[in-house]
Amino acid sequence: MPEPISETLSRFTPNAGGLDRDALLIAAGRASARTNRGWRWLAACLGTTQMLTLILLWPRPSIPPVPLARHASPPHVVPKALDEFEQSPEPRWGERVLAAYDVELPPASASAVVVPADPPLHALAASSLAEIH
Amino acid sequence: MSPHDFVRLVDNHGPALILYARQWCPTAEDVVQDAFLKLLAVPEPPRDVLPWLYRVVRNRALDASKTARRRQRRESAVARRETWFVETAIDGIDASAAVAALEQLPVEQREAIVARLWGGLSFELIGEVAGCSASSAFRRFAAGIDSLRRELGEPCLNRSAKP
Repeated sequence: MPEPISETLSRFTPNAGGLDRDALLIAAGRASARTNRGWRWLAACLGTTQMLTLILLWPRPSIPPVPLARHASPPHVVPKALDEFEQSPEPRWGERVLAAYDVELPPASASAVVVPADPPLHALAASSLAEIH
Repeated sequence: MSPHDFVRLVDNHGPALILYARQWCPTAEDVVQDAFLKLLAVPEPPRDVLPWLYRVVRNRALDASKTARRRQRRESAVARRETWFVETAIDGIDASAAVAALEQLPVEQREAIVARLWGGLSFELIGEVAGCSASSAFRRFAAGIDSLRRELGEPCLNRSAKP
């Protein structure tokens, strides 16, 4: 036997005025849309590699190469003969320095006093062998 | 789930789910809408959609009731009372009196009555949704119906509905 009160109550229709079916379908379609974010990662990777390539291939300021003179030949210096230096009226560099410090050069004959008068030594000379033995 | 199935589900069970969610929170429409959207968002659709929907609505309504309780304190003066039913009276039972009698019931009994009468769930499914056995669900339902009968009296069954 069915419950009279429950049967009567069940005939009341629940009020669903606040449930907008169209809005729900729109929201459902929006929610069911595939959110594929792979393209974002791909775009980010491509952009990064592009920037890296740009940085690596960017023209850097380089030192300009020294231009080589093709037909220029080094100046031809003719060495002066020693006699010319000797006969030059100008004083030599060393003499000028000594003159600036007021130093007198020793006389040219002074070197004779320093050098001993003995005969020069020779290898395997008789006197040397006698000293060894 | 095809769009037609979804629309049919909304049309057939949306109002009962709203009434079910109203047992806990005043924002029942938002709760039911979220439950429908969650149904579409799950990668694998549930095998039994109806008890799954009732369970989701129940959990969300319980969560919403916590926040609604705080809000209700502030807005109680201007709160608009939602009508639960479309009809104003059926077989001599006034809708507002029925709502008042339902509101006086313990929430467990009211939940079982709403799920059974308007949701069409079996006692096994009601027990599954409410977290109890089928016999417990039946006992809650029976106790609630007894209370309603005492509160509302036996209706005169002339089958005339006044919209």
